[in-house]
Amino acid sequence: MQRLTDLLPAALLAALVATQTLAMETSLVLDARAVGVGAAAIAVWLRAPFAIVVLIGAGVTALTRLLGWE
Amino acid sequence: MDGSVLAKAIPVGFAVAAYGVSYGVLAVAAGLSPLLATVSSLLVLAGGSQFAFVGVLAAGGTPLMGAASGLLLNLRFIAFGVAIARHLPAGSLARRALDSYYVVDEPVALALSGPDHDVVRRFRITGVTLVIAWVGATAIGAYGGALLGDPRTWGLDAAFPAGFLALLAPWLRRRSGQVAAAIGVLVAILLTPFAPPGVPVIAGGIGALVALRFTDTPASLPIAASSDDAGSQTSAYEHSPTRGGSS
Repeated sequence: MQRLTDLLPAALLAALVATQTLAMETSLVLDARAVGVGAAAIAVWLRAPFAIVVLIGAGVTALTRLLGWE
Repeated sequence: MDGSVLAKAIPVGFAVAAYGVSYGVLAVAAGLSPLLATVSSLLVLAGGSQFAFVGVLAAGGTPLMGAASGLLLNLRFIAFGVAIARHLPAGSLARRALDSYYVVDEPVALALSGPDHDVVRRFRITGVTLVIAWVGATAIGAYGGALLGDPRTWGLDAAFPAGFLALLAPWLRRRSGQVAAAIGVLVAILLTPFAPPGVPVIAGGIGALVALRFTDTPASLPIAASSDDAGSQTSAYEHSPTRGGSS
């Protein structure tokens, strides 16, 4: 039981990352969010602090939209 | 003594506050009123599940669906409660109820990360710091966020998944966590075209069941590593033995 409650957040967080990056209602889309979350993933890989990861995710997404890709 | 506890609790408070401001902004963007967003932080006091709730709402899911994924995310606090309970004084029911309110990632991680005689004080001081920072920051984000205009312009819709990814990091350094996450992603993506929003996330929880079959070394199951809450995962995040260890 303890192992299950330990692992449940991993599965749910990963599912949340996937749907919030790729889902639009009930369709799958590749848009600016994927670019931003990809950049955030690199930041996580480099062990950046939490706030930096979030800033990179949002910033790169905003920048991608600014460059014209929704 | 209080000074040294505060020296640890205050940075946690700042990290939580940064996360709380973004929660306030995003909750309002997802359709909650600023007042409801602020009250939700006071009542729920668990950032990860609150983000999951508004995330499901923002994706078009029903409030019930959002609450279900939030509840599943918070199941781990049963284990946290058991871990901290033996340190708490017997006391009155009201006192224990108030203590149980603080059973969230940061207070538990910080309380258990030091000498036994000081556990209760670390727990309560961090708890109070957390409440002030989280609720106050939510209010600032919720009432001030309107000044930002469309949150998409600022990429705030991607701040959700980026934050969840950072919270997920400690699990991605262990075998069982990797399996749980991979299956969670797979199930969620495969279900997205067929199921109403919110369902794919909850179904992704199946990944945890599959991952039970994979074992880690015993040392890799510290309670502090299962941090994913009110932002200050930073506390657990930084103090977690899985960080800085294997790479």
